[in-house]
Amino acid sequence: MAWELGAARPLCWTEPGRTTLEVKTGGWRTRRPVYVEATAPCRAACPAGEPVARWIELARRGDQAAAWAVIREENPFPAIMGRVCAHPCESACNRGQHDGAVAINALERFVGDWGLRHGNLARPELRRPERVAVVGGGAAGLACAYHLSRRGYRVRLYEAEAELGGLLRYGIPEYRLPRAVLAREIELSLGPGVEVLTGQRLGANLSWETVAAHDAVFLATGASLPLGLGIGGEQAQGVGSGLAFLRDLASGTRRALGRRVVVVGGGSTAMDVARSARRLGVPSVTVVALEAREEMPALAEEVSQSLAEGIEIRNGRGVARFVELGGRVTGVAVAPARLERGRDGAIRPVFLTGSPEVIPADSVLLAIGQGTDLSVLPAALRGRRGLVEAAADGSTPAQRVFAGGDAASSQRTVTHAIGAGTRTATRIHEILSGAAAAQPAPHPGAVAVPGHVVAFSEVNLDYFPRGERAERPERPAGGRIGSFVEVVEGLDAAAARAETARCFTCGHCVDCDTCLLYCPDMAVSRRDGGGYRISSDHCKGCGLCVHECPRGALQMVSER
Amino acid sequence: MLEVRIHGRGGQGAQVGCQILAGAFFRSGRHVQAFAAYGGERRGAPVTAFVRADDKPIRLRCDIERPRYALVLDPTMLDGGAIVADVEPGGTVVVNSGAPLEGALPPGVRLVAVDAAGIAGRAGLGPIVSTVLLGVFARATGLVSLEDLQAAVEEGSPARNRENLEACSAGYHAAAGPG
Amino acid sequence: MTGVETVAGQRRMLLTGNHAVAYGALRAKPQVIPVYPITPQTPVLEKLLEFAQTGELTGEMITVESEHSAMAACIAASLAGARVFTATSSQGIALMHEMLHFAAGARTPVVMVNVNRTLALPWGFWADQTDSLSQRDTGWMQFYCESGQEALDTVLQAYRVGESVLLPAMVVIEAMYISHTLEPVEVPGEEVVARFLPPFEPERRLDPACPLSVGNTTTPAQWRANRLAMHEAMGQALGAVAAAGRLYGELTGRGYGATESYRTEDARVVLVAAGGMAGTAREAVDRLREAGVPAGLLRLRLFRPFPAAEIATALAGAGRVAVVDRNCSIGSGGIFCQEVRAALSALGQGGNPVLSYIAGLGGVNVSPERMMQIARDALGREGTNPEPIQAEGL
Repeated sequence: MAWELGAARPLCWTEPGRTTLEVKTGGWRTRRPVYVEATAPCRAACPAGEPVARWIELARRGDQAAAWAVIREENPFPAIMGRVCAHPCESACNRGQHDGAVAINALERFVGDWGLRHGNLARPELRRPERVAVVGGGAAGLACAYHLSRRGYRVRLYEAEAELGGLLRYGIPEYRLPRAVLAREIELSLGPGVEVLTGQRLGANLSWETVAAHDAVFLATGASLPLGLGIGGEQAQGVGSGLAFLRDLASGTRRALGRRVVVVGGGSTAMDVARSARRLGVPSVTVVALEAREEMPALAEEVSQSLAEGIEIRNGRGVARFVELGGRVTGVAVAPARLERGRDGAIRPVFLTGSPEVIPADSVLLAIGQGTDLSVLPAALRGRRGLVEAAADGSTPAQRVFAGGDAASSQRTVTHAIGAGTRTATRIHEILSGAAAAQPAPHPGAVAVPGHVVAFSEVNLDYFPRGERAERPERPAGGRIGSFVEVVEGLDAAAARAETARCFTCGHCVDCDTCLLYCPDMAVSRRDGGGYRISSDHCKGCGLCVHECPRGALQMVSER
Repeated sequence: MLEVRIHGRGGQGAQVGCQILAGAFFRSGRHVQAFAAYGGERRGAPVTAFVRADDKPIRLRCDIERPRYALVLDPTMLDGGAIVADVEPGGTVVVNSGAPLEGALPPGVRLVAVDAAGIAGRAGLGPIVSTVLLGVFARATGLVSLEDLQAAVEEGSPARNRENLEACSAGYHAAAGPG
Repeated sequence: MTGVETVAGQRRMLLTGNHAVAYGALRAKPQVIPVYPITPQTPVLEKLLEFAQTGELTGEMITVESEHSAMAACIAASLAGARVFTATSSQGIALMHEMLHFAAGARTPVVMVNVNRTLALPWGFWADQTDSLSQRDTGWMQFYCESGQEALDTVLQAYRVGESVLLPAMVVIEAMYISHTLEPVEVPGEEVVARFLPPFEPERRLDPACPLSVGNTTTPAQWRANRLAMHEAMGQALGAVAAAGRLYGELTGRGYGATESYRTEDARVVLVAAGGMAGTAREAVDRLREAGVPAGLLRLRLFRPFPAAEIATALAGAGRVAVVDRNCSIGSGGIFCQEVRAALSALGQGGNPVLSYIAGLGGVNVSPERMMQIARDALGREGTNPEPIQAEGL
């Protein structure tokens, strides 16, 4: 509208023809903000080192393919881990101090299940001349073989049993990990460079010399020697290994257990043994655990699911002896006890005053841990405490021989095993190729500070209204004890999407524009392809962007 | 200028009723004005609504102090006739009442009483008696055709259209024509 | 949109005043509408939301947490170059007060409808002009409308004027007697409005690519200069209001000015009123004339800028002048009357006997009989009155 304002023109605006860009407030600055990519506590707590915040952010944007690919940069088994991982990430999650940890495990299953349906087999180019032997096709061995083949190595994967999977197949029952999920995810992990040789047991039909002839060896033979209590009556008929029972079950052999079964142990295996026995129709199953209920190594949800399935758990009880009649077990004498951990890490009961009672039993299954068979290995590899001697990166005293997983560690979770396999593959690659492993690039414009784990106090809660954590539905206990159908169901797409939105994305820029909107000097601008740039001419170092950043992805540093 | 005043309580439809009546007058080609005075939206509170219609533009912006026509939706508000004491001689007062009414009307004012509550109840409208009384008003005064009124009801009733149309028609047929 | 099509693509509809201004806003095609509900303005917001849901209104409606925030959002959006609309009333405009100064100082041509409603305490929902008149010195233009039709038309004119002089404008309607009164309204078609009101394209706006600052700390001299520029803009607005009213009349058949004289020629008594009450006064004038009393009406449509010269001219030949205020500046009296007296005095017409009447405070009914009483009272009084006369006591 052509109206000559003349003397009426606004005078409190920057004069015509000029802009505030002339005002170079950058000269006032003594400190400046820097975009950083720090480590979220979930990742720091993950034994497999998954970049949790990154893949949840991709899932939040609806890009499941990218989320799946990012998980598989570290861990080839999201669908498996989304079912069986003990998820220490959730215990570390900053959101836990706000309104409940993000349901990371449920989300991992959601992304993993997407991969089962839509994911493609990796077809890396075999560009390395070396050949690596991986002994043991459990979680550690599979992870190592996967990462080596991604890097272009040929791998010979030796497995003692008839099928791959190790404890995933022979130790975890189907109601927790359906066989189809296991089979598909292993299939998706095996690149063309991996030659699988089953039925090859080291020390039996597989010699150390055959293995050692490779350019490198990864020993991931697991821990399969059942431990005993070393008390009276242990040799009676009807007393056996819980893990052996599970293995038979997985191989298709259903043992007759009688009507009363006692399971000794307080960990996940004890729960698996007890719950499998229930599913085979045993009416009375009692678990005897040294630990108090809340101190049991089994996950809380496993314990509550077991109780719902009619299993009795007797906590704070030690087994004094086995009662037998004519060489056959008839009961377990238990007494009040507490757990004591020896200097070597071994667990033993300290009996308290109180009279023992006898729990009648037709079968007793022990789930108190396994040992590693070191006898088949060269002497240099036999470490103390019954484990293969190996460092965190898998290296052993023997040149080009590496070890990991349950065989070399007392931290016996699937996730630790995968982490060990992954780290060792990286180390083998460094040694064979002489090249340092490439680190993934941080967000554009950001500086990686992997040593900095984002604390709860760095999260700006104003941006995160409280909201309820998603829980996965469980099948009713009445319907599930008659079969091995999966107990816990997955999140639907809407619930998963809502749950991804709860993630703080600690320490990772998600291009939320908060810094851009808050900068009083308009010094922040978007970069093409993501991230931001800060104009040094105009940033006066006020720190508002750092203060406002919802997720600790900005830090102030001093100007030199 | 035609001036109509409606007395009712919140929830009986006085406010919507005044708009429907204005709509009917508007359809007959008149200039109209309709508004209501009420103390905030509250059920049971007294509501007074006003309708003006004229052949020329209406300029007044005030309450109707001496109406020619009055509609009383709740007979308990009659107060012995006090509430309609200012109706002009020759005017008409339409009351929702199935029982004989006591009290005096100004001289020359015609009283038309119809059991609008009964009709509204049978039509499924509960306490909303305004559309019945508008039908009564149309028949008793002959100022607006049933056709225009029905069209205005059709357009102006916020819910239960069919029930309101039925009630309006029943009210129309329950009343006697202009005396 | 139902109704009857009339001339120039206009559509005749039965609308309440609130819905009429919503149609005005719809036709102006605002791009941003920050708004907070309050009785009796809420139907404006509801109708706009309805338009937004049907897709007729493409502007972004921002529901905010208070009127203060609504106006803050209006200012920012306007500075970014958007055409902005909002509406409020009573306590709402009182809460906005601080931001009203900001809006005018920043020279944002926001258009806001204010429904005149009593201010608390005590609580009430009725017509009273105090809420908008309290904003007299904020630098906003103020239009007082006599009908829903005029309010719709004025919303469009307020944009044209405001965007030409860079001042915000308030379009005022009375609670209930206009806001909730259903009456026939001609809604102009989009094409007519497009010819009257071009898109808002300010020469300068907040733009990250070429940033500017608005409202930085100033020196005393700079502050003074900005105020004087605002005052100058108000002066220019007087001409712009007249021009916009004329152009609107040519396009729609309904022209408007800053004031309107009705049968004032040879009048021995002139009623001065604003808003809906002027309609009742118009009726009273006709009845007085029929009864042989030479009465007239000067309707004040524009209050800021105050059309002092136009008023002085209109009242130059009047015998007695009776200003009817639906407001009372506590401790002083009717605000329109003070303004009229000051204008006449300043322009050398201090001899005009101007009487102050206060009528209809808090929504008390003002009938045509009351207006006739006021006129007759004014004719019969000697001199002027130092204290305002309470019309309800006559």
